[in-house]
Amino acid sequence: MIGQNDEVKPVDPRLLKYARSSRGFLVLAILVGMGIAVVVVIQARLLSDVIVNLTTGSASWADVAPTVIALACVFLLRALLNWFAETTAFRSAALAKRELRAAAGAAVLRGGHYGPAGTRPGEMAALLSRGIDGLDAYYARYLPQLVLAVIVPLTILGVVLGADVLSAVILAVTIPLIPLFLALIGMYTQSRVDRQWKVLGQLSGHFLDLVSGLPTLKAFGRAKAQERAIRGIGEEYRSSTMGVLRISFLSSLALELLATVSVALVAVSIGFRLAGGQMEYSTALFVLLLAPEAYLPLRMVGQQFHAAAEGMGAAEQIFALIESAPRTFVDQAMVVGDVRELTVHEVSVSFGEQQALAPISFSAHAGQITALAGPSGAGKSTLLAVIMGLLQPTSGRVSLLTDHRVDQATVSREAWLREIGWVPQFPRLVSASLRPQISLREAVTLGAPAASDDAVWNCLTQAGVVDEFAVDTAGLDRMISVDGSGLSIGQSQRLALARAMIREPRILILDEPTAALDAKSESAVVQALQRAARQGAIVLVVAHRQAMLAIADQVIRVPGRVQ
Amino acid sequence: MTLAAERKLWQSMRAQRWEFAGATLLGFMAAACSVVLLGAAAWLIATAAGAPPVITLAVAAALVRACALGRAIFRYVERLTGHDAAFRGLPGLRVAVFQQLERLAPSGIAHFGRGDLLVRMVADVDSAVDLPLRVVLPWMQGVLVVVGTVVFFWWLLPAAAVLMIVLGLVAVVLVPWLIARLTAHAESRLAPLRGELSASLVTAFAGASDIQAFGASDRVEQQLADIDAQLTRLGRREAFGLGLAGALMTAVQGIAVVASLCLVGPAVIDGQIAAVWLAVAALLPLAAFDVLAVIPAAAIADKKVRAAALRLESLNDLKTPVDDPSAPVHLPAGFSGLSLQHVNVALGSSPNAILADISLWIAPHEHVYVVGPSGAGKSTLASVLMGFTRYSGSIAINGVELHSVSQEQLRQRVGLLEQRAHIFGTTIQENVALGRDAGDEQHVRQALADAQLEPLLDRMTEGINTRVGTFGSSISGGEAQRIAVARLLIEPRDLMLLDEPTAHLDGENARALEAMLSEQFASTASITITHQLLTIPASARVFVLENGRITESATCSELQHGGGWFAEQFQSQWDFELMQSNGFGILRE
Repeated sequence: MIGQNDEVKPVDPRLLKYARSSRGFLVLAILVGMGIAVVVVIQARLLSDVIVNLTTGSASWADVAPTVIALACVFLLRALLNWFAETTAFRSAALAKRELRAAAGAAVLRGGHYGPAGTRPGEMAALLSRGIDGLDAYYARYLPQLVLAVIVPLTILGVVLGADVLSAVILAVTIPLIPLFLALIGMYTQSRVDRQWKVLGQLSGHFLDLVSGLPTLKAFGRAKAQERAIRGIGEEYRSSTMGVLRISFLSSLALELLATVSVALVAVSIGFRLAGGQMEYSTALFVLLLAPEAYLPLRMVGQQFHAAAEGMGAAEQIFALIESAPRTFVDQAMVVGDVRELTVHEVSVSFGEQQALAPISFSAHAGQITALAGPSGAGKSTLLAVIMGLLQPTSGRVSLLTDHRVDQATVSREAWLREIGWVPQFPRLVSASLRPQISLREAVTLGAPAASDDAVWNCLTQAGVVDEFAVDTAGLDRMISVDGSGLSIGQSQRLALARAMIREPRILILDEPTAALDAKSESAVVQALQRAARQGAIVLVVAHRQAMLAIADQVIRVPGRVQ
Repeated sequence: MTLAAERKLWQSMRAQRWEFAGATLLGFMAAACSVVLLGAAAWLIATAAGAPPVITLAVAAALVRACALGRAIFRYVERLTGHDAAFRGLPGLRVAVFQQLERLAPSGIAHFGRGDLLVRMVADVDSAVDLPLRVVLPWMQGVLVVVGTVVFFWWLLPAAAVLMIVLGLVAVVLVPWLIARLTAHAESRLAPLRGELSASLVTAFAGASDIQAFGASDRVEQQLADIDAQLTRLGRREAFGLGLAGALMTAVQGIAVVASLCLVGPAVIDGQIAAVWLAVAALLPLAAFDVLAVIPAAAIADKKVRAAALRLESLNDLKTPVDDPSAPVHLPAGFSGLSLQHVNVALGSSPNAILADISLWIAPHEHVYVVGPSGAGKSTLASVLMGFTRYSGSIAINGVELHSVSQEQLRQRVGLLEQRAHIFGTTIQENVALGRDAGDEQHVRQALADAQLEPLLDRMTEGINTRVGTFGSSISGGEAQRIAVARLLIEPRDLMLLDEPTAHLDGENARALEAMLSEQFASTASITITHQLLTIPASARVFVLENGRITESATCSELQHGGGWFAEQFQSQWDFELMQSNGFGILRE
């Protein structure tokens, strides 16, 4: 999609900033462009020489043979240049895509589930896989063409100036008309094209919605009724697309006519001077062969721009992602010494206008269970995310007390999180392999890849999941599904508890661990929390139920949000 | 096989064949204009050099001008005609694909996943226009240009014509074949790798917080980078092949020009051919093979279209999960009961049954419960009763066999509430009205009130006309489920299937939804699938499903003392409740 910004830049400087390999490519593209410009000129020179020599009858075949061989070599050189340009463009596109993908991937991961990954993981994945592939057209077609559009007309202009001044003047006056025209058409049509693209985006979203909801539509006997709607949307899609295309075709027509008229001007002036004997045949043919070549790259740039626009649209979104990534914490200091206290001071969170967490202050102490209670939607999970450093608070601070006070903002995110074992409300049991099916061992050792099997068994036992998961011979090799299918939420949570405990965290954070069912395992959870507290950990638990609150040493009320 | 799929796709655009033929011709005219333009200009200059009478030049000059204008205008009309025709075929194709998906949904397409379906519906259908626009038309125009060039040289010098035939064949046949060969290997491995990258990204992003919290970001980023590196390696081979093909086209152009010079040149020297034709003979192949430069792109587009055509075609090959009866039996009004006898369900040709020998019945107004461990086949049972899944044995609803009732009629009478109902990205009103033929605003408001959604409506500035966002992104999970309930409440149903409707809600919201459901569906017969055994009324009949078989069936109070899975689970859930009300005192030692 074409970017939202009104100003269309030929080359986005951010591309050079975030994809450093683009710089080298730009240099190579310029070199290749110069090569092509030189080859175009030489080709025209040799071709006109051969034709003139043979036509005027002054030369024998043997005289022109070397020129013909040179011509063949020029074509060969041109072929090799094309080949080189193509592979270079691909390499650079691949490198740039890798750089952008890595940077954007890191940014999305860093945002956690409060960033774009939380609300639209599928969309983000599509942007980083298929979306970013649109840059291929940008690199392989548009950028080299853009370079050619600058170098070739200038080179030809220079060469023609040396051969025939009048033709050079005509070229010099008419060539700038093309970019001018492009800009004018661009300005006139940009808003319309933008609007059309937006419509197209909505339409494809609508299809996804209908297809995803097919089971529901079918359950209500409504699927057949959607066919008319789909036809309607399809018609709308067609007319929108044609609307965009009509504009772009018309602008190409205008450009082609402009270029054609300009070449005709050159040709007519040459023709008359030739017929009047004021010009050499060889010069005339040479200039005539070169003139169209001066306009071609400029016209092509307009065409390639549309193909590249999609990739640039994706790049635009990726730049925004990279720039919106939460700032890295100061990358220094580790948390040294025993953690005695976690202090939340006047922390509040707002998303835009909406307050997600009203200001709150409290301290949680080592060796105690601190429960967070409050109505649904009061921001308890939000508070946990702030404590973990996954979410930047709108105001307030979080700190740890060891032998001195350690502010969250002064510790690297990794070091801070190293102290914390987290059991989310809806855990995702992923492994760094990112495979859809992972073994129990992988699931539990996400935060401690070097943990021994004994340690894993121990944590599974403490979390009360051994009975359910390790009864068969597969043991720790038993495969589970990352999307949680086949596991109840309670089971996922208890596996997540084992995953947290294996890191022996000094702060254990649980988000509503007792919402699930099986009593035996739940008592194991409670025992695990109490054991962790006894061993000196800070245990922080979000709880809805009165009973869970009762085992807490301290209950913090999280007030509902202020409307 | 791929070719057959592509041919079928082409067949589906038959209605536009005259437009495509016209566009081909127009494209050829445009190409011919640019070839003639250069040829005529060359002839003009060559003739002008001999200082001929001006009238001779005037004809050629007019031809040059006509060709210059013609090229631009023909090209413009060709693009408009071709694109218009190609896009005209799209809506029909899109509907056809939707029909296929509709035929297969939900059990037949469950394995596709949401992302893949989007690719099928939008991208594959969209890429169908590439078949005429980027494959067939450019290729046909290329062939016509070659023919035109050959005809000219046949007239000028037959030996050169033979050469042009050979070079033309290289350009329009050999190069596309070479591209297909060179990229086939990389491509067959690229597609799955791209899928892997996509799936890995989804996994990583969905688990972003977990990955962060457990310090695994570096390892995850490394994993993604590794896949990316593999993609690059494969892609490089592909680019090498494509670059080679492009270079070959330039080389062919060069050979054509140089060879034409070599053949026509001596003939000019010998005086066999007038000197003015030499320029034409040299420049015409230059222009003609310029037109052919789009052939490699056409070959690449062809590969992509074939892959898309094959995917679309593969939908046709999938078996309909359940066929509608050829002569549907009318389902008598009201609800006089449902009974299953020895029902079996198998997945494909797998010998392991998902459901085996299921027998149960439900009387009018009765509420029965189906419980059991995860993966026991509970949701499959609901799917069978909705007519989504093929079964053997007998299921009688109001005394009529289930698979002899039309699916449309069945689904008007049996309602299903899923674990996570789909919310369409439209207004609240449209989401609810879906549940009833001609559901007007009055009905919608009543249903929303029944589903206790007034707080939502009060919060939303546009009331029932508020758009709820893609997949209901602007409302909470509890509100989404309530909209799904309202959709069911808008029209009374004979039998309700409640498939763990609260599984994805937190404790508070789950209890509120449960209370609302039991109030609203009090007088409708229902089958509830649940894990919360304590919420089952003591007198309700319960079926325990384990490994696809019913292992226990009796009333809830009987099963509590039965000594089976139910009794054990019930006891442990009961103990837990008890512990909670005691504040876990016994556990505090």
